[in-house]
Amino acid sequence: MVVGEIAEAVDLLVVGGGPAGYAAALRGAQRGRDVLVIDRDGEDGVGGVCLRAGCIPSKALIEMADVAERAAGYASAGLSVGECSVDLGAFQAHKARIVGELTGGVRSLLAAAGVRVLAGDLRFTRPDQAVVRTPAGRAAFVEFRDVVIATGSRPAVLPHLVPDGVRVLDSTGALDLPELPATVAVVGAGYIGVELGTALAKLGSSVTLVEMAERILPEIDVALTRPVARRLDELGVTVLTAARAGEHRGTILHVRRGDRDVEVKADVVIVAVGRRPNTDELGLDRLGVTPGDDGLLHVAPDRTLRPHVAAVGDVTPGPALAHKGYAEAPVAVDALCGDRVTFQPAAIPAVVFADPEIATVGLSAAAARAEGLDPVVTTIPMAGNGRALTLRAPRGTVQLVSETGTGLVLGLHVVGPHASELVAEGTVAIEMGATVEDLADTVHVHPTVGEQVQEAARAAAGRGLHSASPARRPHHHLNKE
Amino acid sequence: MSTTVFRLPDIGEGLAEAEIVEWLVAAGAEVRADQPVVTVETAKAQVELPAPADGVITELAHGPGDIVPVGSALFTFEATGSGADAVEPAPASEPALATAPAVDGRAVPASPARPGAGRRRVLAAPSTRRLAVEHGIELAELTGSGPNGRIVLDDVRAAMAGGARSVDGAAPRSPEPVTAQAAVTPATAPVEPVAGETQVRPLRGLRRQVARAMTAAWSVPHITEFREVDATELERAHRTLRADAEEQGLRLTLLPLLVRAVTTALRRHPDFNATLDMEREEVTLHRRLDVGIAAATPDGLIVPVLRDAGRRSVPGLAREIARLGAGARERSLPLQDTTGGTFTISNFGSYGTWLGTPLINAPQVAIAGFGRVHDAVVPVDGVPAVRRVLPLAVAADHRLIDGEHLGAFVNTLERLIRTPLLLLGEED
Repeated sequence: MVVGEIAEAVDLLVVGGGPAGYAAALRGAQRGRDVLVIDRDGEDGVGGVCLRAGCIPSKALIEMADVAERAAGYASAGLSVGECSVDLGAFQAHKARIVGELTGGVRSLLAAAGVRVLAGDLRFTRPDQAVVRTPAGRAAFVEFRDVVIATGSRPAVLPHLVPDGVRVLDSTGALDLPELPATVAVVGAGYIGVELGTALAKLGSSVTLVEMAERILPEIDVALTRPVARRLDELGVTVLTAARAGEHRGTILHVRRGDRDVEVKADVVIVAVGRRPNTDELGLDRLGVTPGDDGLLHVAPDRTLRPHVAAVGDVTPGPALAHKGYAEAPVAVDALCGDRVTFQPAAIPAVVFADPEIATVGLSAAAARAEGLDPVVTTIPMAGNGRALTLRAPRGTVQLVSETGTGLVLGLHVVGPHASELVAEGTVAIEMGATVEDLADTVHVHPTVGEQVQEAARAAAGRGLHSASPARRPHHHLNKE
Repeated sequence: MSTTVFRLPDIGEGLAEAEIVEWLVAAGAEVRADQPVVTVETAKAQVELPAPADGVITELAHGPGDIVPVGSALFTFEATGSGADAVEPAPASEPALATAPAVDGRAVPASPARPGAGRRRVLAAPSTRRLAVEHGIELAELTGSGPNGRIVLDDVRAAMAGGARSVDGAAPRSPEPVTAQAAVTPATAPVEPVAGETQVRPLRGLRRQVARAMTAAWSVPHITEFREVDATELERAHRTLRADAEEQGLRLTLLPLLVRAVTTALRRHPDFNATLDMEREEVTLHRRLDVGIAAATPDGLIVPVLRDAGRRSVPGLAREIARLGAGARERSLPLQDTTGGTFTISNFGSYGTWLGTPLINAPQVAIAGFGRVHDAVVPVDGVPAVRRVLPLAVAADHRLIDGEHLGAFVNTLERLIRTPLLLLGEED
């Protein structure tokens, strides 16, 4: 450390170049602020985990696995494609092109906005100062007026299964596999574990999912996860629930289930047991900020922690999802610019890119009851949907949760093809205070899977068109005041 | 039987709140339709609110003296006869909830307009929420005009125009009522009122607003500088301009010229055209000169704001001051005319005052007070002469402004008043 080094003055400092960080930087530039982004990997770090090692690369792998598996499934329809063979080395190059295009785009946006990006590990030294250790090992001081902390999260580690990059991998390592392993154990059947396990199984690996809870995707309503569980079974994935992963010796993962030990064959173990916020190495105490016991920064509604300090993305409470970070970032920057603002979405949607996709927004029926509301649930299967049939994926359901009497849309839960896109309709409905009548009377394109949302709304309004069973208690008397 | 929550209606004065004066019936009382139930007082009037139908008052949500925002529950009511809004009858096993568990200490009312006694959040689109937050308006305190009581943009705009007090940094803050601990402890025991000789009168309406604002002003550390300024030339200029204005049918007082002197001085000392937010520890320097003019009304002090005063001509200022003065006296000014000032002028000379100590209109950081112009003997070139003298006092927030800066500002003001021709050199 160089003592007495002249600190560089920075107007708006953003720590972390992931979705929340770069969105904050762009918003700062829009507001006329002079912005500096410090990312551990500098220019190469722009895009963060999401673009470089998470959402985007995993979708590239899932999509390829899907094509392989679906193409094989068209044999009965008269389509025969050759034997499926997978070259993950070539996939890595393909993945790098996609990632490069996206991160390059973000870098251009930042450059065009006049945002500077520097590489280094940052630690706060004073309420208005930080030291950055550059890759060359030099220490540079920055003195800032305002700061946005957007350092994101990292995969949680099990002490007896520390990733070594070869045989034990975290989610990042799993997406960097140079070749397809014959046998894979995925520890953790949350959304990351289920997504990766499904993709590798479709490409030809023999996959075992090991989950501590009683079922896969424990954070999602069990009714929504059943089609996924059935599909995993079809794909030949072994699912061990209520199971604890132990040591990995040779090609055997030792799993404890109740009072029995199970030996799981695994050339590679992928650990996907959640994520931890990166708030422990920042010298936050010097900044006058204390994370909670969960390591999260408990921000005010406007995302500030104290004057001149805000935090966004995975380091704040709520779902650790890129779209939450994107939405928080402008609020935080506007607050630092002195505006009165609040981060107050009515609902944040969540998606699992499993097979079939699961997408959910708003309240489940149980959650609505817990809130003291009286919900009506209408469920429409995908089975009768023309588009779903042509996609050869007539699995899943659309479940619409609305309020008795008012018909207000409280939640939309979709399992099926393109669920990740359909859920946006429910999110808008909830934000706008729309009713099932509003959705029922909105013209939906035919043939699309989205028609099932309209059908669920019609059923809730007591006038299902293609659904025989009307709602249990249709909303006959919608308030016309 | 159906349960209704009766809410404080907007009594048509565009006010945000009213005070419960007296309950005319007790909880549990049977009432007839249109029988007065409660007397409420707004800044303007006392109003009796009647029962909506024949029935029983089951619960009174507030006690006398409580301040209730428009749209919040006043009492719950079981209708027995016709005339009540039919609500979904609840199954016998589940008695209808009048109010759900409180959220954030606020009972969530259930009513025909907002069914569902659950903890459902207030209905409003994101754009509506953003506008409300920007202007410090609590959505929960509004009554939505949309379907299911959804709050729409126009509801928020109405609240902004209708006296929903903004807590924006640039608008007068509505301070909390003074608590006993915050008030100065009297050195003597409180005086017991003697029946028949004294009157006890609660603070109400505008007077209460003024009282709160002054309490807030008291937390600002004031420094005040006084001058007596030779206003002979200013008066001469005023006479010339007044004659000219009269030909145009406009009555021109001295005040527009004083405003012009103040805006010119503010341009040269921008630190005085500012607001201070101690919570954020931030000073906002305002480019626009929005000058408040303290105006006395029978009910209390109102400070209408001359928007963009620096860009108005002297006749333009005169017209706007006349409009705002009339509006203030009639209490008919919309919120945008009484909030968001960046500096204030108090023209106490108009009541004959020689000199006073003006109080800063927080969160602004300075105020100029002008006394009455009068004859005074002053030395001119070493000999006594009778001149027209204008006493003035400028108070500034010492957290931001030191005596030296205040002196410089007052020097500029004095030079402009002594030599009013300089006002013609003002750039806009």
